[in-house]
Amino acid sequence: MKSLELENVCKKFGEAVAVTDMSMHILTGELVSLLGPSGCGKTTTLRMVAGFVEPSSGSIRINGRDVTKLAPYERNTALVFQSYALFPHMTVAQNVGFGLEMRKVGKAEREEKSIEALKRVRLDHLSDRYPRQLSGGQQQRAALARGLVLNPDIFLLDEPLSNLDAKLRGEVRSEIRGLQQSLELTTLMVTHDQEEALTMSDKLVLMEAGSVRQSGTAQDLYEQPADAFVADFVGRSNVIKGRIEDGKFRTTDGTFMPTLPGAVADAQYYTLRPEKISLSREGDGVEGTLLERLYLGAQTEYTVRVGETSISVVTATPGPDDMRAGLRVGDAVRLAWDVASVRLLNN
Amino acid sequence: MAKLVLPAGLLVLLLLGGPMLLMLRYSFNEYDPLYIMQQAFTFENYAKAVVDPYYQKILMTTITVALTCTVLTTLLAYGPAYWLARMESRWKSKLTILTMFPLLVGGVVRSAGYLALLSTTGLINATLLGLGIISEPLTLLYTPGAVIFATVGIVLPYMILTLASVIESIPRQVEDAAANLGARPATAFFRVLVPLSLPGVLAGASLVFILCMNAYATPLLLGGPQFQMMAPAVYEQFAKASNWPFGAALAFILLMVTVILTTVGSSVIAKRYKAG
Repeated sequence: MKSLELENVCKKFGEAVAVTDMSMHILTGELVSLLGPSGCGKTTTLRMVAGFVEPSSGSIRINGRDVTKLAPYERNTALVFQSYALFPHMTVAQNVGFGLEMRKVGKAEREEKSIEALKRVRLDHLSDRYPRQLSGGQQQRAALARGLVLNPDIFLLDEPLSNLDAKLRGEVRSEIRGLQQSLELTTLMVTHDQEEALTMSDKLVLMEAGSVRQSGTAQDLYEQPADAFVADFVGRSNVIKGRIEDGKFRTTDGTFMPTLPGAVADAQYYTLRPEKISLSREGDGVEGTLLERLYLGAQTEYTVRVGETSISVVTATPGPDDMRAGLRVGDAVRLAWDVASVRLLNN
Repeated sequence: MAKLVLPAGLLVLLLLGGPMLLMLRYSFNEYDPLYIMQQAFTFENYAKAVVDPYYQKILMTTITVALTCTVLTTLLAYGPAYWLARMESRWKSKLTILTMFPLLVGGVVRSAGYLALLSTTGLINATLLGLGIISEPLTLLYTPGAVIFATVGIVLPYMILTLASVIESIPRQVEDAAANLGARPATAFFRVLVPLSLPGVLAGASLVFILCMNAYATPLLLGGPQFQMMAPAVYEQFAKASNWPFGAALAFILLMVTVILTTVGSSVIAKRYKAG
């Protein structure tokens, strides 16, 4: 059984607090993502797990063993760097064999295992190449193999897709996830890309300003965001400020929004996913003016002004017969949504 | 683009290539006490320099001192160069300038300073005598040690700056990757940092070796009359003995030995460490 536990981990750089009271638990074969905007402390957390940064307080345990004070080379973690960090003076095979050599594995076994790992990432035919002779995607697969071959306790991925072009990204995403699941790699991934985190992870830990805002499955975070920050960061959300008056939500500019009865009295944010809203020319719903229309191919995104508030609406691009097809900026539109999909949040 | 090379190229051709060809020609001439030299084509000057034990010893001393200085300088410079290259604080640029600072003081002035430091009545002896640690002044000056000490002091900044710029170009993540894969600091140093910084080591060491081979003021001022190196010997032939052909031959021997040792040394070290 493999596991990673962080208990009340804090890190300060001088006066600046990078990570505050971070606790989490990863079990065998799980992929957990640390998600958050840059500067939220996710990379510092990853570097603490790898041993490059020593926590100011708290403890880190790998497979139950306290590793808080251990040097990087005394921990059995495998970190795939954002820049891949392959050794430029070694061939792919030498790169992959390096960790085994450090573990005093004999030459024959080393070669056998390296080739096996390279086969897993479909790179065995390039084992004699130097990193500079590989494409970005191939370099990343070599870096993955260099970690895989060690059968690490914890697999660490630092922004694994950020250096790849958009087309390759989807492919690599499922490849990494496939490898991780078939080898049951216990993995901690750092990313700022919510799509990457949502699609690849068993669990997400959303961080902001050094602390955890919410952790849970992708569905938990998407459907039951703990606060307005989570609602807006995971997927997109219209976050409208206001307060409850007479059991109804009233925006700061005075518009009353449809609200389920029995709303929490201290709610300050009315959050609503853009795709939960339907837009029409007439009929029931909230009145608004079309401010912008963005054609995204399969989808169209509308920005509608309701009172002083801008609301984003995402729908499937209407067909030619649809009444919405001819909408122009400045037209009056109606917005409607199921009140059940609204989340009222108090911070 | 060739136009960009032209001015500097012409200058080199005129001021370096010209005199060197002239010297090369002189080195085949015959010495004449009256007219300095006679037009001739003889290898006698070279033969004399190679066969004469006196000049053999001077050449050997020069090579030994230059090699010792190069090795010492490389070992001494790596630490500060690494520290400087990896520094992230706002002091980095100031420290880089500070490293260059000794270069503002010329070799002659510096050697005169070392004279004041190392002589029997110099700072070191005076201090040690004053503290009662020694009763007789130590012979520090006019020793090979003094020359090596002073030369290393003079060439150190060149080595530090050359190494630092190359180490700076090695991504830190590559070092982190070595540690993450289980390499202890010493292993990571020899398996990753040394091979990757090798171009810097070779460039710096070549530069330092060339400077040391041609050292003039330091051996002259700090080595004493018994200690002989090539550059002063060449000067002596031109200025004092007025034997231009022989001086030119000595100069070309110094040049050839320096070029050969630098290229052979570089390629041997490169081969030794390049393979992962």
